Amino acid sequence: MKAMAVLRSVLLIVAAVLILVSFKYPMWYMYLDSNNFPKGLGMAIWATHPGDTPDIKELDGGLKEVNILNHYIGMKEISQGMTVFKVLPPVLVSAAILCLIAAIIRKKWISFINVIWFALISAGGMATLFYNLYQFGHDLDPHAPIKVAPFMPGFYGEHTLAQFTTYSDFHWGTYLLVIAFVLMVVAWALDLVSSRRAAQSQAKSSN
Amino acid sequence: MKRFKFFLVAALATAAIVAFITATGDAQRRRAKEGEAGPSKTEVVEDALKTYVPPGDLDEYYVFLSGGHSGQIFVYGLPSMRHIRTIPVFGRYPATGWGYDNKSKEMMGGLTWGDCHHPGLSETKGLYDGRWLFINDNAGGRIARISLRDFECKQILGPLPNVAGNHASSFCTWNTEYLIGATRFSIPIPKGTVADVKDYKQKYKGVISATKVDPKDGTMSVAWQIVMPPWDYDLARAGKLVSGDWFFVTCYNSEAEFVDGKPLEITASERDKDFVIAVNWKGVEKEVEKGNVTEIGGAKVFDPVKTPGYVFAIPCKKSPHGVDVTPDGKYIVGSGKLAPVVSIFNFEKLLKAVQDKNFSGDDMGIPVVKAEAVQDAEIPVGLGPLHTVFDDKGFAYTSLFVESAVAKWQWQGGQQWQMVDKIPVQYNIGHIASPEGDTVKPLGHWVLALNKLSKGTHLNVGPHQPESLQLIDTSGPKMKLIYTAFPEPEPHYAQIIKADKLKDVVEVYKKEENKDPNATWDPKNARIERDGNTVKVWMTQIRSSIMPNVIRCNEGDNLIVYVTNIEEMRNELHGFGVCGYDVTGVPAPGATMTFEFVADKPGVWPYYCTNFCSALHQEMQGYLIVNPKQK
Repeated sequence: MKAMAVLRSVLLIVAAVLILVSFKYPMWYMYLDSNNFPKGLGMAIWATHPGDTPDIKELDGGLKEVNILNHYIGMKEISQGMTVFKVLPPVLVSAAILCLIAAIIRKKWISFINVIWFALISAGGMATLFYNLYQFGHDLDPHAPIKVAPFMPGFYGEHTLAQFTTYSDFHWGTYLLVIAFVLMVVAWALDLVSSRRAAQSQAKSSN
Repeated sequence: MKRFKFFLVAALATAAIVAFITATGDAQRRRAKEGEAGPSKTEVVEDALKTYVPPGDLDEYYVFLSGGHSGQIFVYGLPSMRHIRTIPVFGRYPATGWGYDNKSKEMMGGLTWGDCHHPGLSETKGLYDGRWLFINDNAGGRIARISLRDFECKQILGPLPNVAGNHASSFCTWNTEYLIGATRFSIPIPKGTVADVKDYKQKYKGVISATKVDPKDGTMSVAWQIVMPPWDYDLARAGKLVSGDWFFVTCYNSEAEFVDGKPLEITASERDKDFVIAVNWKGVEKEVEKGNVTEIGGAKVFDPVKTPGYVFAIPCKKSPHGVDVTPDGKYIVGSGKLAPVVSIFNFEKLLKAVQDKNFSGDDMGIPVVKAEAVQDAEIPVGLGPLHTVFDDKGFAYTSLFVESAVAKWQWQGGQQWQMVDKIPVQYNIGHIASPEGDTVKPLGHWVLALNKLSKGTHLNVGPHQPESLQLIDTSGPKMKLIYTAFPEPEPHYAQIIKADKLKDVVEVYKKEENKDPNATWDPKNARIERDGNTVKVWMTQIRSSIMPNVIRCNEGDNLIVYVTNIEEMRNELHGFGVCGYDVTGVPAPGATMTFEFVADKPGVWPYYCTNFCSALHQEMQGYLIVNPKQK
């Protein structure tokens, strides 16, 4: 019984640490290749800010170039000022804190809330990314020098846009959160198992 | 008798040129006329593939060609022979704005042309280190330094004091301690002194000049000079390895005469031999440190007659032009341009002759070593030898100007000092170059013939014609001519360096390295300020707008425009050209250029991006509004 308690606490602490470590890595990135840019362009999104992909030195350009290209079609600037970068960090920190609380208080309802909260954050995060991409591709300045039909930028995998081939994918910023989520679910499952066992043993002893 | 010999050689030479031109001019037409078979198709395909570099692939070597009186450097790729870039140095170049902005104007010092002959790559231990390219200006007596980090001219030194016609330049010593320079046209010194040519022998002086190169940042400064007899100094070459402390300079007109009304071509060709001057520069350096110098024209000048022991003359047949040193530093190759041979001098024997004072006497105070004591061989290469380069297999290649050919001979191993092969080129080869062929470790495979005349080997382009560059494959037992390119006038010499030796060539300047206090990085900070009659403009350029896009001023105002290209993408160059004004320039990404001019023409003058940049390039414009003076 004791081993189980230690294990669930360790899992939740590791989950909290993973959430915080995930800030260091991009959550999502996009490469854009075309004949104009033989080495390609690369931009990435962290929980805290947008930027260049870490291999920027081997590329033709990064976020600044993507923004320059986007301004011709009237796309909004991908900048630090976007709401998501204000909301996401405190929300993730709250999830990490909740993990730590759940690690200390061994109650199945708190680890359940922990799972639910993180699931909500994840769903919200995905929806935000999807929504932002949609907005960028659709909320185009009508006074832009080059008019293009509204479009959905590539969310995942390979897509074609004018002369560009884009490759987008998630990165360690997201993977660590997924691992953290799995750990939270396991911790909750352990709580469920141990509470059921506790109930059984109580029933036995009362018999 | 000597005179007769000279005329005989000259007549033969003329005959050879005429015969050669008529024999091979327009090979295609001749073949058709005579029904003669050309090279087989397989052979043509084989040769073509040797120079073919598919789109997107890179050349193996950079070639840096001097641009002669264009004043520029041309960069070619080898083996494709494609012209990749022109680096402006001594001449104005609107394509980049060189000679139009404040910085380059200041460097050019009021001259808008130069005559550059001999590019020299910086060396460390006798190998190209890929740091700098030096280039002389024969006309202005200057030396420029180009950084190979960004292929831009960083410094123009000169005019060098006391040196008139800095032709024998800019050859580096083997660790780039000094750049050699020398007088081609002796004059009374310091510059500005007047003496009649009647007193040529007494009052005119030759000068050999050493320019110091700062090993950290390459900054050049005049180190010291050697005052010499009034001979005409032609070319130079530094020793390496065993001969690393020495350099060698050829001279013609050792007759030391210049007679009013009598052509120099006659007076300077009297003697059977002129000299290769050998200078122990380490020794001279020590004497200079001791203060054993006189100040002339602002330079520390060392007199080898007063302090003997460092400068010697080696007799060399006849009016020698080029002097070259074998990769091992042991042999000095003198090319007597009016003799059909190259003379080989043994450096170790020279040291011994100097030690034993084995001199035949002196000429105007310079000790002359006995030719037989130092000369190892004379190689009958052909008519008009000028310059020699080396490959990796012990062969040397000498350009033959009069004969329009390249001679191949062996300098190391088996058949030492024997002729091996000869190949004709079109026409009148001057210099010759091979990959890293003047270093201690030549790479071989190619020889580049830098021909002075292209005569009819290209589409007719009117009276002004390009020169010809011919690529010779030397990898097989016989030399083979496989490609001709037609450069702008006029490459004299070239340096060929393996492309991978140039590391981290920048394409975009980082913001941190732009030290211009007037650099402006955000269009929001672009602004105009007036101070009396001076109007200052801090301008930004980024796709696809110039800010500010309206400049208002009054007729007669002094305008200073600081233009910063704030792009971070390679090749996103933006031009700044003002219609109706002599103002143009192209700041590189991350660079700031300053243009100063008087708004002396009232009216509305558009300014615009001259260098195509983007789909909205045409829209990248503004207006300079010059209000007329109130009358």
